[in-house]
Amino acid sequence: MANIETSLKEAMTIEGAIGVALVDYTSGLTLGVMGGGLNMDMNVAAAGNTDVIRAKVRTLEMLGLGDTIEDILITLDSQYHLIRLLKARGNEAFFLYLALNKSRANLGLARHQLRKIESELEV
Amino acid sequence: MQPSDPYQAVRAELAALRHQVTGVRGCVIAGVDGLLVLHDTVSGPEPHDIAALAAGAHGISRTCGAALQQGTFQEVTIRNQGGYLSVYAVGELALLAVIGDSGLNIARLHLEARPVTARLADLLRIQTVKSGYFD
Repeated sequence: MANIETSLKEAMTIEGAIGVALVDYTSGLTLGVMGGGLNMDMNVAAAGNTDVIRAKVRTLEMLGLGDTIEDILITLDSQYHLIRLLKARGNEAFFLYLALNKSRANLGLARHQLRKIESELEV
Repeated sequence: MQPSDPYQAVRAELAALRHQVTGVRGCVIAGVDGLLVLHDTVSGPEPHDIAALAAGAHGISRTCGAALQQGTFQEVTIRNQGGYLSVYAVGELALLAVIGDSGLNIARLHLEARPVTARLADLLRIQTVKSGYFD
């Protein structure tokens, strides 16, 4: 099991990683951020993507599929944004948010690595 | 809303905040004395009450800021089981109080509200008093 700091550091070692955040999507507040730099405020990204997840969760409820989200991929012109929801732990609702440089990242590998990080993360 | 309303721009800012951030129930602009200036609420608590509560929250927060030597008051958020009350400084003489339900994206509200308070201070032409006035 890994703590937040270790997990975020590990996520930043994924090839092409720009920034990563662990976010509580009941409030949109971050539990930890790393990277991002000047061009990308990870706290803004966290708050905005909280609304993305909520919209998708609502859509699934309306469709009545009885299924849950594993991850969400958003492809930009120059970046990949990967959102992975943490397996429900009681009432908590967290997600990992990873921004990747499209030209440097391997999407399949990044998704696999993020899944591994998520499974080992202890909040 | 009347076309001659001098505070139309202010009301528009409050309405925009309610529309942009899901979970926002209403916004109130109050003086630091707890008196209501303007409000944008459809239902729920009485705006005059929210104004008084905002002033109360501001009072304790300002005392904290002074005691801990952390400077002037900026914002305070109260989270209850069923919702939020967030109070932001608008200049030094007014407050923006936002009531939200438990589903409010509070991080998003903070991001949206901070530039709004700056614009409101300008729109309301609140004169900034020299620091030391409230010490």
